[in-house]
Amino acid sequence: MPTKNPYDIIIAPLISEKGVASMEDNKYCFKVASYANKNEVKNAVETIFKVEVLNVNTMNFKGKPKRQGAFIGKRSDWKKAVVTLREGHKIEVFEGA
Amino acid sequence: MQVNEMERNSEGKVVYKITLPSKKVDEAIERVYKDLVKIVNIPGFRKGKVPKKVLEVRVGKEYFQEEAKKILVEESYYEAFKKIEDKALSQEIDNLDLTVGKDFTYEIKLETIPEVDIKSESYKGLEIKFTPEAFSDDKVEKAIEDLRKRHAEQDEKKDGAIEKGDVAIIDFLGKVDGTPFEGGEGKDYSLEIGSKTFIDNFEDQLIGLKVGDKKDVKATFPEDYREEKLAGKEATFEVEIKMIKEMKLPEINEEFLKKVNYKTEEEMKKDLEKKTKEMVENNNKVGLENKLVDAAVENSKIEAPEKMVEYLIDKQIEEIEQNMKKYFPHMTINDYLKAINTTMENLRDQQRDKAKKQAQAEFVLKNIARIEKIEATEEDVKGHIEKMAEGMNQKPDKLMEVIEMQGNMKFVKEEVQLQKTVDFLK
Repeated sequence: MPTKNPYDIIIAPLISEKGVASMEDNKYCFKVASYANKNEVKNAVETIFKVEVLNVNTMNFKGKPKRQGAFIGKRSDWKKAVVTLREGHKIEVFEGA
Repeated sequence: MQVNEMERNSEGKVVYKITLPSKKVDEAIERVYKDLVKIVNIPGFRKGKVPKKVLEVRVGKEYFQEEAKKILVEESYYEAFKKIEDKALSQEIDNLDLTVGKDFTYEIKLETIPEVDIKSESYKGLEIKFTPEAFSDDKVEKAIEDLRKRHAEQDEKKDGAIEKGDVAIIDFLGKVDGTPFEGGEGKDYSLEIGSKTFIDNFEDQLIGLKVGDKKDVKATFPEDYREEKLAGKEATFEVEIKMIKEMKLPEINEEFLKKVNYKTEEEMKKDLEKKTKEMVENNNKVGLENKLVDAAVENSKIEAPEKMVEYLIDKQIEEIEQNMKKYFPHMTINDYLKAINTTMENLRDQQRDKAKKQAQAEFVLKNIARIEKIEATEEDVKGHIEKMAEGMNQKPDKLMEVIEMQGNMKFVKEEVQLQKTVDFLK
């Protein structure tokens, strides 16, 4: 069910090599709900982490088709958001990660 | 690295505080990270590419600190022990304190030889009876004969009886009261007749026997036999003569002299005389010293602490193990115990008497040294090492370096100190 709850929009922080590296430029990566737009992501991040967001870039990832023998399946599609914060703001995404 | 003495009491407890600079702490943590990053698999990262911050969250900062502590202690422990001059009977590491950005400290708690007051009457001006062994030409003769014996050739005697000086290859099975006893059986054993290797007149009874002969030999164990159970008992040995070999002592001629590395007979005699003299002198010296120490121990009426005895037993067991490893590298101590049919406890018990005596002597001497302020000076140590080097055919400087490197300097110092204390007793 699509909801506008900030906790439904931000699914998880994306902790990967690229994600961690971009944190030096004050950019944080999240896995977000596919139906969310940039504005919703911005608001959600601001309310959850109490920070000021400058810019949001989003991108859609198509899930890879996978098969196990005769059964063909597909991984879920998902959306990634790269959130740029104003200088001096920080998110401790690693807490509990 | 700093080593500070924090505490020392008369019961022998000593505490040292070791301090390592904070830079070392950072290095250690970095090493923990480097080792860890090679082996962990975290989704989202290639192997070996996980940033330290991520790992710290994943495995916990505590893990890093604990591992760093281990590394630091391991690194500095040995080094610290080189600086500590006390002889440790037991040691314990405690109070590790590691905070990032601060110096790392920990404590080494040692148990050393306790301090006990000994009255000076009990060791000053000791009067003991000791008759030194005299040097005589017989001893040189004996030395020459031993040398010849060592190079003797053995010829098989097909027929003919055993004579004194022959070597008999025998099988034997000894029984006391009709039951075989431990160590009483042997196969193809070479026994030199007249060497007094076997008890009583066992060897004499074989004289006159021929190859293939069988005989029951009766012999009595001496009262002071090392195996208490057997002392003073009469035993019967079933002996079979397998082979008789005649010892052919080599003549003292050029060939023989060449073999034993002498140029002339004169030279050989002189050298053996010198060696024998040295040996007798040394024996006398050691004998006198032992008596002195025994007397001092007796007079002082103090008991060495159990810990010291146990420590020395540990040392001896270690030595046994090392010797064993030299000859049988694949054997473990357990195999060895099985082979000689005993348990660890038995082995320890066997060592106890020796250890106790040694502990007593060391305990008393150490305390006398402390009371009389006998210390090993640089020169003493140097002199001792020079002597050691001479015996080992090495250069003193080199030997010194080796000892220094292995951190054995304090043991040498202790040895010198004890020797000085013994000299003081004279």
